[in-house]
Amino acid sequence: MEKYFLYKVYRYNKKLFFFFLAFAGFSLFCNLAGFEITPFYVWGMYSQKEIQPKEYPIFKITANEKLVDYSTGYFPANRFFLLSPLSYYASVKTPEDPTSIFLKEKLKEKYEWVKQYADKVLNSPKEVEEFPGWFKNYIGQTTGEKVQSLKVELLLVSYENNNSIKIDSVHILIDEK
Amino acid sequence: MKNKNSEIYFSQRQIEFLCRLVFSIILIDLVFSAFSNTLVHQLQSPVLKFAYVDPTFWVMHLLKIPGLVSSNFYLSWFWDIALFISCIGILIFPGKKWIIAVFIIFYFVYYVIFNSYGAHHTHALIPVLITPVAFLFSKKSFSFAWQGLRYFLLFSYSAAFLWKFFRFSWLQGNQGVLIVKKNLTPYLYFNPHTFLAEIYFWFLDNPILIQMIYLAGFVLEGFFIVGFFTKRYDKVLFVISLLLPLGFWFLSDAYFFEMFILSLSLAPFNKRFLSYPMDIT
Repeated sequence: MEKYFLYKVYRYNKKLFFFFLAFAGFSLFCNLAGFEITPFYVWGMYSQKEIQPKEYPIFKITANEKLVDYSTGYFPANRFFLLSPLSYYASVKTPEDPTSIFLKEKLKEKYEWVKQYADKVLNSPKEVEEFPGWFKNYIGQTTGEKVQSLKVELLLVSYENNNSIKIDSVHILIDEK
Repeated sequence: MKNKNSEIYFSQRQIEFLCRLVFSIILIDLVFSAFSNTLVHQLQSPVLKFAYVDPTFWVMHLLKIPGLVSSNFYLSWFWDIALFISCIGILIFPGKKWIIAVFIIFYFVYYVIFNSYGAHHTHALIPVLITPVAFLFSKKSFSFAWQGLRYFLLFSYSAAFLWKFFRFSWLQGNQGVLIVKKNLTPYLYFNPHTFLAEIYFWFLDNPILIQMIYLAGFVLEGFFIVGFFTKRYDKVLFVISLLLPLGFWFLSDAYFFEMFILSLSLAPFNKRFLSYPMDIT
């Protein structure tokens, strides 16, 4: 028993022991429930079975008639902040915020209780409308040039048998002049 | 959770050394954020937020704190300057706990802003948020807090292993290839002729090798469970904890190098580097 870390903490300081115990307990609970409450993190990293998609999405960003090749030459966090919100915008462009859809599915009739808070936390149509303007500014921040025109296309691509990539379809996501 | 060496306590000098080491890495990370255009004032008042279903994020957004800080020109600059000044302040005065507390508060809001407006709750910044907490503890309690960080690291990689294990994704023969394609297709599309792209295409032609790397990462994550029962293999786990982020980078273009901060809790600092472990008993 004396060799156990938590027992040593208990012997040393009971408050510290309960602090560690609570942190460990909540972390364990959140992982078992698959429900993250910062700072009790769920470490699922790439554990979900990947499903073979028919197509892979690629965002083609053209600012001031020049291609912004975010895939190289930018720091990883910069690339993250360019692509992840864009990807989210593409999913939010459907009439409802994806988190709202997710919550309705999970909570069913209990969603009504959450709705009053959800309306304040989830994105409103106004915020979705403002996104292209923000993205234009952020591209400007990233490239160091004032962006006059911005075009974002969603390319759906697939791999051929020899692993070369071919474009299946192109969808315009943002076209700001 | 047995551990044989927890009789070793840290002297004030050792704590300050570790504090400076941790905050040196954090300062480098903040400088990288500046070059990455991801400091608060560089985000250009973002609009789309992603609180997901994390109650902490919901509370923060209900209080309107992330929106207020990120959308106000002066406040966003103030936030970034406070982050840098507090971080540098800790490097100069590692014993001043109030500066560490200030840094944690400012970084917590930054963390919520980054993950909310980045529209993905990435785990990469967690070590920067969690590790400084250990330095808030008293000199006597620090040893336990530092070991707590060690268990936090063990838990994170062990949980990642168990999640994969119970979801049976490790049994899926093309899991590795699908992860590579999901995350690296834009790079391969825009830059098909670079040396790195050629390496990836070669691996895609030999998918079994990608799967082996994926499975090796899975098994290496599983090794961390051993750390809950003995400290004997901490040096091995330390090396593995340095290798895993390289694997995440190669397979999924994900940068988890901040995890190196937590890896320090596995390093044998008190014996080798600092030379005089101190017993307070």
